[in-house]
Amino acid sequence: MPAKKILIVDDDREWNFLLKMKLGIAGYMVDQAFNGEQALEKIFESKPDLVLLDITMPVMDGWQVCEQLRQKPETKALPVVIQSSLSNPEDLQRGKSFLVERFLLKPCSPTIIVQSIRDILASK
Amino acid sequence: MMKIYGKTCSVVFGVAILLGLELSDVFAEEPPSLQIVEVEFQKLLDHGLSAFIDEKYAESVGSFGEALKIKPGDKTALNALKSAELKFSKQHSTKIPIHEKELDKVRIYIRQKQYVVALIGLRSVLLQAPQYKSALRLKDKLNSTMKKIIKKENQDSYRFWVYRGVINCLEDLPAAAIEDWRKALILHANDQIVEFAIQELQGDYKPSVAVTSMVDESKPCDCDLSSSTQQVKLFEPLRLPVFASTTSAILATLESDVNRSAVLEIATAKKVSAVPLSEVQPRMVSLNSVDLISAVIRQSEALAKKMNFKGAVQLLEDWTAKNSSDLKAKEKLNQISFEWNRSSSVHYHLGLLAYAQGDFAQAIEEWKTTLQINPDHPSAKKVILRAFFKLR
Repeated sequence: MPAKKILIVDDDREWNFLLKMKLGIAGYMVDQAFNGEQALEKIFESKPDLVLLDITMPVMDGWQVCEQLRQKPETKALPVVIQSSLSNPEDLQRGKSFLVERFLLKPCSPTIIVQSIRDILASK
Repeated sequence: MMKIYGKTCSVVFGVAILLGLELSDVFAEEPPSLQIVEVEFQKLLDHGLSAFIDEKYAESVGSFGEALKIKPGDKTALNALKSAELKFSKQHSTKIPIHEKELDKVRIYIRQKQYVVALIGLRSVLLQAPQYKSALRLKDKLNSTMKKIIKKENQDSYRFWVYRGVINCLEDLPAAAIEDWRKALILHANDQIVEFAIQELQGDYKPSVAVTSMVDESKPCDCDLSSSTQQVKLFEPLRLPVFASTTSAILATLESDVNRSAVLEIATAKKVSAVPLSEVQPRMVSLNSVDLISAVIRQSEALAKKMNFKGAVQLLEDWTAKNSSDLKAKEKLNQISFEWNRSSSVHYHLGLLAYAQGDFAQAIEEWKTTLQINPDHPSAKKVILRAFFKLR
């Protein structure tokens, strides 16, 4: 069975790198993007199985990415996990409206991130 | 873009050229055609650097090449082109083992003095390929580097404990490393990289149901998310993710009557949920408004002391938005905002000075501090990259 592809989208390069290493050990094929625009390019190019998405980013933020993904039929059902330090009720509602699978608060345990991804992909 | 005033100062002038800062100001008296050429050169350089950051090395090589056509022999452009070409060849070489690319990044983090990130990266490579010679050599090199630099640190300083943790980890003493990093976290509670490292080493770490499911397996969430107390309830199962740095979580917890001990934890800038809220016996002690104001102010002071000015300002802004008559909090907000601006500016200029003196590693450190203080600083990221190229 081929390894599942995960796209990590986060402008915090150190965090992005650490997650990449962690998910690599967990057996996933990992690609990285550092802003929303780059994320969309990579999503349509390499078709990941799940996107781990930060919200506050330069160029295009995570909500804009979600909006674009949900508008296109090929990415309408793509699982998205948000990791963000935003935790207002409005943000949670917004996540819900974009059908995100999980909303993880930063800083979040990497083990929890891996476990969440594993659970979501197993249920698909 | 940063404005440079005072063209008579040759150091500032030189630094501005090197860094490409607001060249239109510096070259204000040059003929218009020269200004246009300079702007075009800077645009190409900036585009090349952005592409380099995004690991689009082919594009980066193209931009730097074009920049060199405008200014043949420009050292910054030449160095940048060399770096981009090297990266491009590595990116497209099938002979290089996959781990070598990761090790390259580890080497970069070592040069940037991001030792914990480098350590975790190296450890990940070694977990996948325990006998990989390059990784083992790099491990020895990192260990000897750490042993040299730790001598320069004051005992009991934050860096000392972080570095000692790295050394212990490299020497396969994970328990001692965790102990050291915990001591570092007492001095700098919001370091998510050190948190990450601790969790990596805790092999027996088992997460609880520590995520907030948004879709609840496709069922709609019934929670009323409009009140902050509800929000705390929503986070109740969180064991690790909720930290005091999340301002709305702090306010929500302060406003809720969950219990007084949790509030006291916040006031000492520790993690909110070191003990899960669900496991704390609710004592239903109501906080009066004076306690609450004091707690908010104390917390903002603690955050500012740790140079988390953004968090402190956000906390006070959230608070004053809800409590517009609280003059004490408004005064504190003004004070911290001023301090934020001042600190960020001081480190930025110290970085410029180090850069002008050719101490690129120090310049990177100062600008990193600038970004730590003000993540939205308009120029810091750009100049870090320039210094990084110089360092290479």
